[in-house]
Amino acid sequence: MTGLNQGAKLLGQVFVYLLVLSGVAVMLLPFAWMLVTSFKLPSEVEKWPPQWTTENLFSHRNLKTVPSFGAARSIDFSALSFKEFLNLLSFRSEDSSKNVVVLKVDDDPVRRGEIHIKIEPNDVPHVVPPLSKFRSNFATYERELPRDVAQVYDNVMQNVSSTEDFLDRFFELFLFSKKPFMGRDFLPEEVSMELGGLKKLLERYGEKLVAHPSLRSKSSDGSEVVEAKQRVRKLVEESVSGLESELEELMLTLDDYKKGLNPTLSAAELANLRTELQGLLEWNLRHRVEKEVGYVPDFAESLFNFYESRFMAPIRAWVNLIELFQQVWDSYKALQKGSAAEIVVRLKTPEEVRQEIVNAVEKEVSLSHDKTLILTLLEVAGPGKVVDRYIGELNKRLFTLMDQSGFHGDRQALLVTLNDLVSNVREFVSVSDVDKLIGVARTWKELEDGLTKLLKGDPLLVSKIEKFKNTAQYEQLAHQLFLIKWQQSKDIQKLSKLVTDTRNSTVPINLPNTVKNVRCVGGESFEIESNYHRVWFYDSKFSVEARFTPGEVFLNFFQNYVDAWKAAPFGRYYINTVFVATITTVLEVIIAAMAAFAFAKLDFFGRDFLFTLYLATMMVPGEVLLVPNYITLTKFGWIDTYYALIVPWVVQVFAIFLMRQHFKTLPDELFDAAKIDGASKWRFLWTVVLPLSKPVVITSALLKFVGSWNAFLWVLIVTKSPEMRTLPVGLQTFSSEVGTLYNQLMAASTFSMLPVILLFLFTQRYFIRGIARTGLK
Amino acid sequence: MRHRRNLKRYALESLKAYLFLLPSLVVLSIFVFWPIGFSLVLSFFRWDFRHQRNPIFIGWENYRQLFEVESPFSFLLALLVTLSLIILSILTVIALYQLFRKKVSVWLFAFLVLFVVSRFYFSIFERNVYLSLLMVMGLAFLAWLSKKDLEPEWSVLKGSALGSTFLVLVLFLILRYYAHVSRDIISYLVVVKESSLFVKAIWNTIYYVILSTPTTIFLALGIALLLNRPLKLRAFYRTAYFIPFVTSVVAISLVWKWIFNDEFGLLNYFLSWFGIEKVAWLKDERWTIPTIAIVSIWKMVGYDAVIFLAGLQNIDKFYYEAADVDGANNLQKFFYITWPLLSPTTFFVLIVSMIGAFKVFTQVYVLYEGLPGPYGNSGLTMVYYIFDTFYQKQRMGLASAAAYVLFAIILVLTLIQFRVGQKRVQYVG
Repeated sequence: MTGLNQGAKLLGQVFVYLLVLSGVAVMLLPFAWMLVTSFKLPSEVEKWPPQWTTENLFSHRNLKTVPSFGAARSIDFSALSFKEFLNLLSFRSEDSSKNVVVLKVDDDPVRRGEIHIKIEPNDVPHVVPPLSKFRSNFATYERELPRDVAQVYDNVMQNVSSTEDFLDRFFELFLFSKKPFMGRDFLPEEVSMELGGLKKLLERYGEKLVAHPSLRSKSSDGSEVVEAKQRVRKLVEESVSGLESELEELMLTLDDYKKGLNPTLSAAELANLRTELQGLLEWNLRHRVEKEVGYVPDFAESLFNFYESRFMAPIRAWVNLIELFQQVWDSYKALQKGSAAEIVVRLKTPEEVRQEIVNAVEKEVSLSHDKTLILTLLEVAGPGKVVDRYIGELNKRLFTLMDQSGFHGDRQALLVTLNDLVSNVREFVSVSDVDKLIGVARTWKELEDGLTKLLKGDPLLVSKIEKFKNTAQYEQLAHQLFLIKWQQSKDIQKLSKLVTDTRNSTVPINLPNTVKNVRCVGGESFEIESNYHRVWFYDSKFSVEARFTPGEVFLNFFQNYVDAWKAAPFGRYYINTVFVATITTVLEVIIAAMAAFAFAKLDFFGRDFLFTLYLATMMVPGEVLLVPNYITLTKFGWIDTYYALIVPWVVQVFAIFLMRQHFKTLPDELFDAAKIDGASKWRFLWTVVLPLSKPVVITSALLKFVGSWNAFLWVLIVTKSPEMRTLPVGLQTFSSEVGTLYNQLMAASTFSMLPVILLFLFTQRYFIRGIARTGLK
Repeated sequence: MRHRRNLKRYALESLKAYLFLLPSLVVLSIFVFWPIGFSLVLSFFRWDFRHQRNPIFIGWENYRQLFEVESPFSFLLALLVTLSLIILSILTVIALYQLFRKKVSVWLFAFLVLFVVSRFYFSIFERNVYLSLLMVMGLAFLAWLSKKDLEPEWSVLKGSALGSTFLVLVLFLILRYYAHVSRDIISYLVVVKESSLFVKAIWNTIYYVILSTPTTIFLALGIALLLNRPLKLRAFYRTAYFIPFVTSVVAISLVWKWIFNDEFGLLNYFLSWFGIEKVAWLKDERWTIPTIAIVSIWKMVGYDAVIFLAGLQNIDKFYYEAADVDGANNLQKFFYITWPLLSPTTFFVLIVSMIGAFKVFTQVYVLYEGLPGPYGNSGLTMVYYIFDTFYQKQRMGLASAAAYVLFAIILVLTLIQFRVGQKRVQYVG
């Protein structure tokens, strides 16, 4: 019996613990989820089902990348006009990135660590055959292509300069353009359309072919001919119906080719499609007649020709197209030899980047006149913003110049027209020409004439010169401004290039002989510069892996915190919040202690009335006073100042009440003793009463501090500029700016609540005491 | 100090006292006393961006504008119908008490018959004000008549105020549904809230208060009862329950916004364990107020629990020991000792929570990115209305009037608490 009783008791106890713990779990779950989310990689945030882990903690990470080979990749050739082709081709032949393979990171960007790029196969030819020799192998196929395709093909292949160029364009056309010839959404569709057309044609002409006049027996025909005509007619009938039924069959299977993951058809699919198309060519009438009859009778020549050109040639053209691709691909593969290789580079740390920029600036002679300025800006703003800051400083100089020469118009507008002019000149005229002109031109007039000549009198550009001159008012000012701005634009470009190059460069650790150098642009793409034409990497697979040292894993782990902190002026928000909360709390304690002392220990006129009045204010919600207080602060001119955040909140009647209740418990004898010692009431309060009331003081101070830290509505209303915002309002504006970047949002939430939570954890008994008292008054 | 009241010394001490009070008095005067009056004055003026420099006195116009509604029937009618519903509910509760006591009187039958046939006569009486007035008067007369004969039942009703109020409310709702009442105050508000933003705000706020306050108190009481037991790591549990209260509303609202996310949110994930389809918490009008309530309940439950805990620990152990001697079980102990002795705390928590709930703003602002709900002003609360009218629309007079309505509601609640608190305090802290 007792055993049973104890069992029930134990069960009850377990039940109680389960209840309490599940409650605790519900209360803490949001915080846990906030923390977990704040450590996640961007791509891990929006996952279903939600995950409680993050790859950010691992020492290596596989990066999904998409290789891209040059600028023209995404161009839809079939949609280009001939003129556009020519433009594109000329652009491509100048393309300096011929040796560059770009791997776009289709994944979370990588900020640091060692990057391992595996190239498989890493094969390049020993000898590249000359174009004419290489291309002659495919001449027969090239000659007979489907009509529309042939037009595009010929256009693209105009002015091919080398084998590599040929291959480059060829693969672009067949594999990588927006609608590649071997594409899943191109080839099956086009073939199907072709076959559909043929089928309609057969339906229309089938009967007529069978009843072709050349097959009708004439009175003049000999018996042999009559027999031959009959046999041929039978063959025609057979071919027409056979071709028709096979066409139908094939058209049904074509849809299968449209399904698949790769944008282009695989080698096996292509071979399959080719065989199937070749099957149609079995219905070649001439061949069949030759086989059956033994010879090709000449009475039906026109019929054969018609059949050949209308039905066989289009099909053969598509077979040719596939075969052309297969042949080129096989030859391309046959040229290459090699095996897998691995590139290993390390991304530079911000400190390294900064140091290298410093070194580069020190070395760069053409920037020597601004060296100190640039280095200071670099120190202040960091590599990411140094160029912008430099431009800002240079603009200030221009403004100074404008002021000195007595310019009275809109400085900003003048700057804009100047920038516009200079950037246009840079775009359309070679730098050396302008430099020469500047060396010669003594006055604005000469400069203007020279520029007009260099711009070939283009009316739009010339009007820009005119506009600038008019805005500048004085010719001399215009002349000076142009000279300075021209020099500045060169400096800016130099610095910008220097900074970008340094930031994108990596530290090579292991480079295979095919690779010269690897750049990393913002952690979002890798540019592999090779010693060979990029075309040789078309058949390679790239797998990228980032590896991190423990220190780097730590930095990765807190990356969201760093990003969020930098994305908004959280440092400023923090300082504001701490400042406002501290000052408010200190003032509140002082004022409340004074008032409480008066109410507790002094006997004066109207005490009870005043105390009731004070207590009555606790009934008034702050929200009700929003409007009049705002108006008052506007009158004081306190909007958007610390006063507005502090002064209205330094009196809290609840604290006065708490302290008064406590002060009343202190014996009056203390007061008398102090009086005998000659202490005034003022000193008595601060030296005796307050030290004796530490718990109450701490409680009210903590409540005030936390309340002030978390205040939202009032701060939202009285602050206008980001410089005055506190954390809650800053966090809210940050959240409306970043939208759904929940990892950064959660990081920001975490660091904005952390101080208060820590404070609470260490002082909770004071909190609890204060809160509990509210219920017991 | 009091024995020899020297006038000069008293004056001197008064002077000193006022010096001590000076800073708090100045701040309170500028930021509390003055604005209370100024706000009241403002609420009678048209003061908006068009009358920035020259506010115009317009009397009650602002208040009229706040409550300007379109309705097919008058407020008075709604009030009368509601009144008769309440009286009938009370009478039915009386009848139920009598049934419970197995006592039978003619009144019992009268009330029950009235209840049963209410289905037919309400639709007639709610047609116009006079008929409904007649109904109220009739029912009131009945109540008055019965009071003489049913004295014990009436006193039971008065004695257990909380339980009876609850019962009457439940019956009210049942009756409303059963008698097909279509012109009571609830129907009135449902119709009217679409034509007046402020009424909508009041409706939303009251809905929020009704949703969040009882739930919070119920949960908090449960937590307090659990934590009042001798458990291991009690301080840790208390901390865990209390932490949400000290964190910034903005931060926790952001966290909850992420949890409420309809596509990838944690809440929908947990619900999916039970086969519940994804709920568009933040994009559906129907879920706006419940969503805000969930966040508030989570945030406030620890605070209320701590107050309850203090209340529980204040109950003299002696009562329980005496109950043990009498062989009372846990349930009896709760209902006959804990609940009555805790009632002042419960009442205090109830009122304080309601006051707090009436002031809800930040959760809405953060969860819905500076909008009052996803659409249709479904999250427009009273403070949001004040904020919006004052800050976005710059209509100071109207905002002040709205603020005063809120003030009035809170004042009523506070005064109730004050009155009841004075009457019923059963122990001293």
